[in-house]
Amino acid sequence: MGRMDGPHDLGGAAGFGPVRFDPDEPLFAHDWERKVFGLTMATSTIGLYNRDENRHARERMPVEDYRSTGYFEQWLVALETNLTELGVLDAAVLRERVAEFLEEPDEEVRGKDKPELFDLFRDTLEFGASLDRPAPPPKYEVGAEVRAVQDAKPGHTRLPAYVRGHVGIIRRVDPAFVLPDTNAHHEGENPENTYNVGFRAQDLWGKGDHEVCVDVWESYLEPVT
Amino acid sequence: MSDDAELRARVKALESLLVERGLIGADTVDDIVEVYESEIGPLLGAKVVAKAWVDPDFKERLLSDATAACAELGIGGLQGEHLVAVENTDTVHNVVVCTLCSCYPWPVLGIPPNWYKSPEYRARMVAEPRQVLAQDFALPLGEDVEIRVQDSSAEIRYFTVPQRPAGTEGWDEERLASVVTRESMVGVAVL
Repeated sequence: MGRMDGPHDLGGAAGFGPVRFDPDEPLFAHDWERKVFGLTMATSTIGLYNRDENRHARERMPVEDYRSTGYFEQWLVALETNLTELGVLDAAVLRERVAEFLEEPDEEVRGKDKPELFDLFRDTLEFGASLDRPAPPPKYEVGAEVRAVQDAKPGHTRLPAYVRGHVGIIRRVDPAFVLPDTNAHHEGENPENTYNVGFRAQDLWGKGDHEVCVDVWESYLEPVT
Repeated sequence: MSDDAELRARVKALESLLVERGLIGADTVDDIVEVYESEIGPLLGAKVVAKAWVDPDFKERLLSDATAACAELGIGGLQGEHLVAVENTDTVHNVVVCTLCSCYPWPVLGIPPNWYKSPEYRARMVAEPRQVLAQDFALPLGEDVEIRVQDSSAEIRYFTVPQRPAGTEGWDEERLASVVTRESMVGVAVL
């Protein structure tokens, strides 16, 4: 298996047990989880950070922290990281405020309505925030054999480690989207065509009879000659 | 894992500072979550699937351009700007995962359940789907059924169109929609 770039890149990782499947679980186990979800939606609605930046903030967590925290705690870490690094909030002031709420755990955050934020959220919800952009014609066509590149640059990427270096077949040509690898680091949108590429389990894992279809940006691929 | 008291304090600290900065309103944050709790969820996807079962032309449009087909029903938007619907049949079974995070078709299925976001599901579904489906989801698939795992690693959001169950002949769309589960639209269940 290929190297793991971050704690989030879990496809094929060894050592995980059964999936704990509960069809009746609530959306949020705790009120604070509900709030983290809402704060993330609110702050992303006003565009304080982009989607890739948000993912990258979670991916930078040390592996032991990532593995020992729940999903919404990872989201909370991403909020803290992004809002302080971007200078929206001051890290020292934030720490002080946490200490105050630990002292006074029953203190609630006072209401304050912001209808224009809700309206903006409604618009985003309805119309989406698509990252599709114009790009030159696609380089590969359906049925072409391609190889996923072996090395990804350090930093954010959406090429899972488990397909790197492997040969697959283009199953579908998709729109061009903003390139996460640069967008996450404020290095521009650099839109590229994307593809759905099918890989044989036998090639990826040395066993299995299924196909794994992965969505990739054009620069994650090279032609097979 | 941090304890709940600390987590609550960290969340309140963020919220109160953002309110003071005038960037958000605390009530507005609650209102936003409320939308996801009350308006968006798998019932929307169930409507799409039921329509596909009764209307072959719609099904054809859905499988060729799910974004446009769902838009016909007023379904689409944030975290589902580009949708792909894949059909499960007697011979091909699709199942959806996001190994890198938790990409999921929000406008169709709502926000993802915990098992979908769990490291166990993300790690194992791409490597041993036949075993995970059989052992963890009580869905043993025949050896003759080809499994395709869709890893949503870019901007496309996937859902599966399960097979219509036997014994539902003559049912109207609303009644059909009532039997379509979230799990069947992720591909970890059949109906």
